[in-house]
Amino acid sequence: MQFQLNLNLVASEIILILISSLIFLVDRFIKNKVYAFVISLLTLVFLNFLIFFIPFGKFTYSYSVDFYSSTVKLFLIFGSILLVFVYYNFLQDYQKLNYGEVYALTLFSLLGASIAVSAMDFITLYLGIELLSIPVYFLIATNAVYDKKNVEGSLKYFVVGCFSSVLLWLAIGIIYYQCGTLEFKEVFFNSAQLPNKNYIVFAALILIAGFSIKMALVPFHMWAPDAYQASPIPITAFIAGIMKLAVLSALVKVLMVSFTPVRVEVRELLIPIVLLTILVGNVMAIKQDHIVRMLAYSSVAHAGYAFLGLISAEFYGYAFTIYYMVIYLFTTIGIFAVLTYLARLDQDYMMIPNLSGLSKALPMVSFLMLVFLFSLAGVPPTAGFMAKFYLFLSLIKGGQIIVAILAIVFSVIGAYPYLRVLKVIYMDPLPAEPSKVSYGLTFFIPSFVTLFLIIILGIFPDYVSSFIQRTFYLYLSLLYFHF
Amino acid sequence: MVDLNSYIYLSLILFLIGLFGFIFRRNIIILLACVEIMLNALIILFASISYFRKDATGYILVFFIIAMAAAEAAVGLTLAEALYKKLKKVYTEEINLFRG
Repeated sequence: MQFQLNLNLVASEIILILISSLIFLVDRFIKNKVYAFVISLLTLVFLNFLIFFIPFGKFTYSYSVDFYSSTVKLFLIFGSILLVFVYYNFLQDYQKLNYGEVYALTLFSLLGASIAVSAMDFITLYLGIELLSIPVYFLIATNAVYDKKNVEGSLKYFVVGCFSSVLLWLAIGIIYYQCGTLEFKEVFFNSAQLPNKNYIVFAALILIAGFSIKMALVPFHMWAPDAYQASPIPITAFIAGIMKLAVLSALVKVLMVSFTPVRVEVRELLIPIVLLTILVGNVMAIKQDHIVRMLAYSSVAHAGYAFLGLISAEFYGYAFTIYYMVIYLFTTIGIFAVLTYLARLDQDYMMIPNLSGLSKALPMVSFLMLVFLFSLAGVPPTAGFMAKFYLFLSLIKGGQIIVAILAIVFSVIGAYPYLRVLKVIYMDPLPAEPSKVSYGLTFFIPSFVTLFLIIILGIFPDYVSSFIQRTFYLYLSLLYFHF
Repeated sequence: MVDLNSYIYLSLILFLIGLFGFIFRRNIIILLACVEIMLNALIILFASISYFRKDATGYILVFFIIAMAAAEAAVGLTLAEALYKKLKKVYTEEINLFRG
């Protein structure tokens, strides 16, 4: 077995480690914290170009740079560039949190995400997922300087996250017992030859349970609203957007490469989980008054929608799952950029009834909110509609018509919480003229870039969706061609 | 000579002990200890499979599990200490400030 250390393949990860360690080292000695914003922004922009030039190949058999991981990393890093602006915009007014460590921990988490999506081995996958989630516990707990009870949200997330890592180890143990190996492709070969596939299905079920804790699917969704409400607003966008995209694409890779022999059985197991996730997320979102809690439950529901592509058990359905999460990532960043602006104005705006009549005082912010909420609800000219449309199409082509009808009915229920916010903003009277904070470039860039993307991808969804489809096609054909 | 199945039953029993403790105990420190018990059960599983199959992967995994358990215990104890310092709470049923 030849063994290669191609360090140029992991150049982006090495840069992330070095830069975040550098920020940790020098943060104590620099008073003006703008440097951390500038360094992380430049690093991420550089990495965004570097991704195009990194060659494909394998780093020690358990880490591969290929079409799939490069594509997902591209979206992750592009989302992080937009998020860094939101961070800066937020930390200007929340000075007690304004340390370089906030950026550095986020970069560490991004490093974990990029390890998780390029893993070809269960150990590397697990380590990537852990590195993705451990910095986030601290990022949530830092918000305790503003409200002591925020430690609680972090602790709840931590306890559940611990349980998820135990479940992942259990699944790895069963796979190791059955197949005698942990490499994705060898697991595929060995499990295809097993006479009794029940243990592999059980391992896949436990693996999905472990991942569904990170993604907040229904039996394990209780931590989500508390952790989302406890964390600072940009960190919430990070958890809801980037973490979910990274974890879901790692899961899709595992299901696609190593659990292909059992994917029909896995589909049968997923159907009740996914339908319950969509229903519970949408119904619980109705009665929330805190807008971040409402978005937390809606993010539970959106993770459920994304899993609909896995139910179709076809590879194009898997591609639409990734497409849905990418669209959700952009929408989340946009809406949390707007919420950051509102939180800078007044913390009271986080309660939905206090938003009444906002359209008269802040028409531009209200319009941005309108577009993002329409995209979450799935109203036609926005990208959220097209992403949902593709998912339902893949379900119907996969023969799951009853699941598709139920999901459409639940998504009609799910439109209510968003429309309620819009009704409060546009139709209720304005109590008093609010004070204003200057917008600034760090507000305009993330919100308008995401607005542009959402409108353009709603009208011409073809570019990104066929890009992802072709990525999947090339990835799978190269993977199976190199047997 | 003890065979592989006995080790697997041992690790299953330890895992269930840890799982029941994780679900039913109320002290946060004991919750963390129960997570450690579950991870130790998995260590026994990996090491025994590795021993009986003459394959080194399981032994290497044991070190990964120990390292991750240490990292998780560090994070967990930090958060539990912060919870006690800020809110004077140790038991899980007292953690009820977020509702709805």
